[in-house]
Amino acid sequence: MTKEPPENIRQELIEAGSTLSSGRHRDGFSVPDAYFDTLPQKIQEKIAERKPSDYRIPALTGRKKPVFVFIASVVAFVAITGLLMIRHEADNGHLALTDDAFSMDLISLYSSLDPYFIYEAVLESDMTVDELQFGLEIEENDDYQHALNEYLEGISDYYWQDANVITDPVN
Amino acid sequence: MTNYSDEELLDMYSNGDNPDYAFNLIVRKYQQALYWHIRRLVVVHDDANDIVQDVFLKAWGALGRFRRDAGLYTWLYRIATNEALTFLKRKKNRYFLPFIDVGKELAESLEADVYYEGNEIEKEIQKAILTLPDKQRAVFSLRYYDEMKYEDMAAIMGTSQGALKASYHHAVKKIEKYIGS
Repeated sequence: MTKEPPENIRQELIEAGSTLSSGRHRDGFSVPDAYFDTLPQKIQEKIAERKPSDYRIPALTGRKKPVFVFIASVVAFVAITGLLMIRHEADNGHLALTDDAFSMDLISLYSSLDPYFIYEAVLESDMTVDELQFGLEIEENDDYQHALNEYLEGISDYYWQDANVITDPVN
Repeated sequence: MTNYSDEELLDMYSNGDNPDYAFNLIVRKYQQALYWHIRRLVVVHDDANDIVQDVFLKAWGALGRFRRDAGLYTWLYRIATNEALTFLKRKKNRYFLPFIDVGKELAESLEADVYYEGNEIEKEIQKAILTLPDKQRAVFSLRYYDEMKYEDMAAIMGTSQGALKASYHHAVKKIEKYIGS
């Protein structure tokens, strides 16, 4: 990474007529003594606590899948499905989406689920959207599939990962 | 701070026998830059401390699949920015506070913060910055304090350089107005 030359930053401030151009100002924040000496160790300890190998057990399907990962995937899917159901209206005994865009907004507002956790869960489990649906014995439904795809792609974008990795079939 | 380049660190992480060591070097290289960036957004040290640890935990979890289309530096900054902005959003939702109240709350935190050593001018600038919307604060911080190029900022913020220049210009104007009032 190369920084912008300070004279360019200053010139920009001058052109904006700002008094900030008169000199460099610190932000004034400080940290406890030796904070940055101990931070890497704290992070390493947290990583050690969360090693996924601690959770891995053989899966029923023969593939090794961490149980918590599968559960998290199921929870994520149920949450998404549940949010969509909120927007459903009874129509001659059948359910139909009233507003896809608004449903997606509802999904994005569902902040109690950590998007990174869901992303990791789906990715680590090697499960596709189809497998998630199959696992939950939910009949194929384009609206659900579309919503789930959109959601996972959004999470991928958030962490700058390839959306296809988690939305395309593995096999 | 490590002298290894990002590419060398990533190679060490993916090809080496000890990825934990390589990741530790990445943490040492970027911990200060990310911490200060987060701190400027959330103000309180304890919050910044929690968030920077989360950022590195999430980076650790995703680094194995990092595709190197973007630089490690901008990728880490992007996660840090997203995490800090998400924290602020949740804070607002939790207390049902309008934007201005959160700004005031953060300004009060600044006054009471034992880990704030700025002089009166620097404190006044911080208070002015706290009147800006969160994303605009991030833009101002990246440009003014981190002296970042618009090209890198665009990659981090996920928006165009033109939009960032306009946002920064407006931020400078608002800060000027606050300080001058």
